Amino acid sequence: MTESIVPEQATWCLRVQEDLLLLEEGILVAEEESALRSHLLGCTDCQRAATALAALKAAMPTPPGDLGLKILAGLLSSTEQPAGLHEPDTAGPRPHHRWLPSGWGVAALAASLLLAFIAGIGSGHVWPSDTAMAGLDPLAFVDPDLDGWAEEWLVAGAPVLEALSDETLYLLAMELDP
Amino acid sequence: MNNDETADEAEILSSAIGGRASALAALVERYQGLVFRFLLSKTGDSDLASDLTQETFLKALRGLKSYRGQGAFRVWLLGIARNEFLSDLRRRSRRREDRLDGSVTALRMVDPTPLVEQQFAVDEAAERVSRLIAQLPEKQRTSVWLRLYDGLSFREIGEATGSSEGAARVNYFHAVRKLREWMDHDGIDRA
Repeated sequence: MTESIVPEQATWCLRVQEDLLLLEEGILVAEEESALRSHLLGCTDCQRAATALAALKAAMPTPPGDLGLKILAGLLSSTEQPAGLHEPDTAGPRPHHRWLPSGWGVAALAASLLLAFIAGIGSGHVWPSDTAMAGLDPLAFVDPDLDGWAEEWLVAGAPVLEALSDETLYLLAMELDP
Repeated sequence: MNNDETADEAEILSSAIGGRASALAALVERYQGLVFRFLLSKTGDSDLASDLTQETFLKALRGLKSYRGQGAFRVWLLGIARNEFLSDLRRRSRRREDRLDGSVTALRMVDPTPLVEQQFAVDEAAERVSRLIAQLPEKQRTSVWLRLYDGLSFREIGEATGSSEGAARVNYFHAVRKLREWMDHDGIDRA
């Protein structure tokens, strides 16, 4: 590929090919970018290197669609509290050893996490698409015995709960309390 | 990572440490691909990489307060992922030794061949490229993925993989050169 290239040009090619990713990332200064683009226009070898890099990038493996959900569900069902994610201070008794509130509280906290997750994604599909959950009533997961601190989560999470589908709530409930 | 992204990340981290659920979710969303690919490059097994990714995040998010801003967060996260991978390797090795009734078993990497079967891209050329990448030695594969797909610097790759910046750079360029030769041979880069 580089057999017919003179040494000076080979050095240039090496540098250009090293910088191809930086060009894509947009972190070259204007002069460097301009020099690189000029070289690319006239160098078949570097053009092929750029094509090869593009082909490599196109083969990027992506995580399974439900991995984020599993991570968050794991966090929510964990007996250990993640840094900073804590129960609101309250003098009331804790119904469980687990750090999570129950009933609506769980759903509200879960909804806060998951809605943020879904909303921030922009990268598509999080839920298994083949799961038919039509007709499920999200209120089926309501714990009527809300205590004070769970109520706080409810207040915080209620608006986002409205945005979640029945399928999501069902999956949450299954993950948290199979 | 540019300055805006760095500032954005600092804000998310601060919120996550402060207990904001949306910030925790944002960290998961932002870094799950990086951690998954890193572990997939090491294990060659999608299911195992998924499990280890979950463990990595559970440990990282529980221990967020121990991240004091020393180095990039993603490198800190990959350090935890690497420990998870090594712990899993040791557990597997012990189980294997038990099964072999105490005979010496060297730690070895999982056969990367299944990587091809876990190809998620539907594009045929991408699948052919994936097959080639799967043939790379593990360190070269990890360097390529971290640099190419996740934009880590060679210094960060060195830190994340427990090697030097120079070794990461050499691994990457050897891998890319090798891949280009293979792709050239297969006619992929003429597409």
